[in-house]
Amino acid sequence: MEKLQEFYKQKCESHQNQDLVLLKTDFEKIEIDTNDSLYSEIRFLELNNLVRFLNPKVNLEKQSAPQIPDDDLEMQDLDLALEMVDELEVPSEEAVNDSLKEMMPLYFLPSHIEKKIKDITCGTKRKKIDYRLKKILPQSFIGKLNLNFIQEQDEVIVEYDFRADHSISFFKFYKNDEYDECVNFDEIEKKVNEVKFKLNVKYVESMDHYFIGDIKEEVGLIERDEVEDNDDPLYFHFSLWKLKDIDLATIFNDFSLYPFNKEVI
Amino acid sequence: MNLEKKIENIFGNMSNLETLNSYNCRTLLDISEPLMFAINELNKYYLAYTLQNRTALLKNGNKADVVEVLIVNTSISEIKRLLEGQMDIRDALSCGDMYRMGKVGNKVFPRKNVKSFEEIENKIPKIGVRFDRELPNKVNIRKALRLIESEAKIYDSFAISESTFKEEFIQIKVKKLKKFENLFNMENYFVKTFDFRNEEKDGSQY
Repeated sequence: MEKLQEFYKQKCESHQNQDLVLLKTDFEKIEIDTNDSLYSEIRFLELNNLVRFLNPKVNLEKQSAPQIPDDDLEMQDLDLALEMVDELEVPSEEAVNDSLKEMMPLYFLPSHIEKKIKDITCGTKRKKIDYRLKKILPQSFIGKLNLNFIQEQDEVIVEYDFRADHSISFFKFYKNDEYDECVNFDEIEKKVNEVKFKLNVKYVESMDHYFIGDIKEEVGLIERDEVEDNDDPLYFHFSLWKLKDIDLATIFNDFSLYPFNKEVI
Repeated sequence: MNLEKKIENIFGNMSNLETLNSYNCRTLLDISEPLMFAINELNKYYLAYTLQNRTALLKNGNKADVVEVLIVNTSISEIKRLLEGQMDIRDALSCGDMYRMGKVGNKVFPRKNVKSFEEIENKIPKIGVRFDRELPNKVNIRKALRLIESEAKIYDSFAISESTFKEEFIQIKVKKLKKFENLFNMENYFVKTFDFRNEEKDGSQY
């Protein structure tokens, strides 16, 4: 608790409302209520054995291939189109590994920024792009797609209630009712695979790869989701707000990539 | 916005919660990306579940973004049972009329009825998977349920349903406006003219 107070005091900016502080991330300033009793016990400065799912939609290498033209999709039946894709598809399981080094910073972005990148990679957005993306997208990609950004604007302040949407998302898994956390790769892998197996998600790419690692102190603030359920869950979801002054590599260097292991099923 | 349009919006805005919520589409399950949604259109409720969401690289160097969604009729009481963990996700997705919609590249394909359970069997959660303590989820399910229920109450209060004819609906609105008008003693010519016509037609007075 004391450590948290120190963090608010030293690493955050003051706010006109005395209960709040502003945590400056790479993209905006986040309002944090330092007196919110609901969260006082579930905020952390460091955590181990976290799982981060990889969002393949931000893999610019793979996504910068041109989208299949509508002329190739003259059929009116969904299944015929899906069949055609299956026939023409080349395996791309290695796409993530091949470009991992270049893409690593993009795999550790806050959800709302990920979404903006997805609008470009999976949608048709090329103009009036959020200026904050300029510093994270590789110049070659910006040139290739001829992206056009809006003018830089005043600093954005995110209201306290909307903080979760502007955070980097992690999960943590537990083995049993005693709340022994999964501490090594085998245990975590078993849990993650179990989830994928139970949900039967064979064709949802965002559950194909995940990172496991630790978040060390000084990086930023971590907050666990509140639990309203009567049954305590066997997993927890966490939000991380990374301090602007910390290099993102400090975080992702402590995480390793794992594929979803099909053999476990 | 009709249901098809709402589904098209899911394809485009899968992870944009604000946009989804703005047309009564609530995410129910989100682990790495949103997987399941509850959609409401007037008094009708639907569940949507992502069967496919991936990018295929093609032989000719192009790519094809593929999204396929299963849509099932449901009701507010079923949604409640589902979210309270009293029912398998699989069962909730396989009762009622089922159909699939999809998008390949930039093209949205029209909906297609699911003729047999086998079509979807291998793409929906296994038996026994429920919204319970073992299912990781970024979504606060209790909160989602509260929002869905309170929205349903608003719809009920307006009595908007297919059987309510537009004219009838406008009259209800006019009555409500009239009440406000009396309350504030304001002049509203539109309401007055409209009421006058109605009085002539059915002889009643509001």
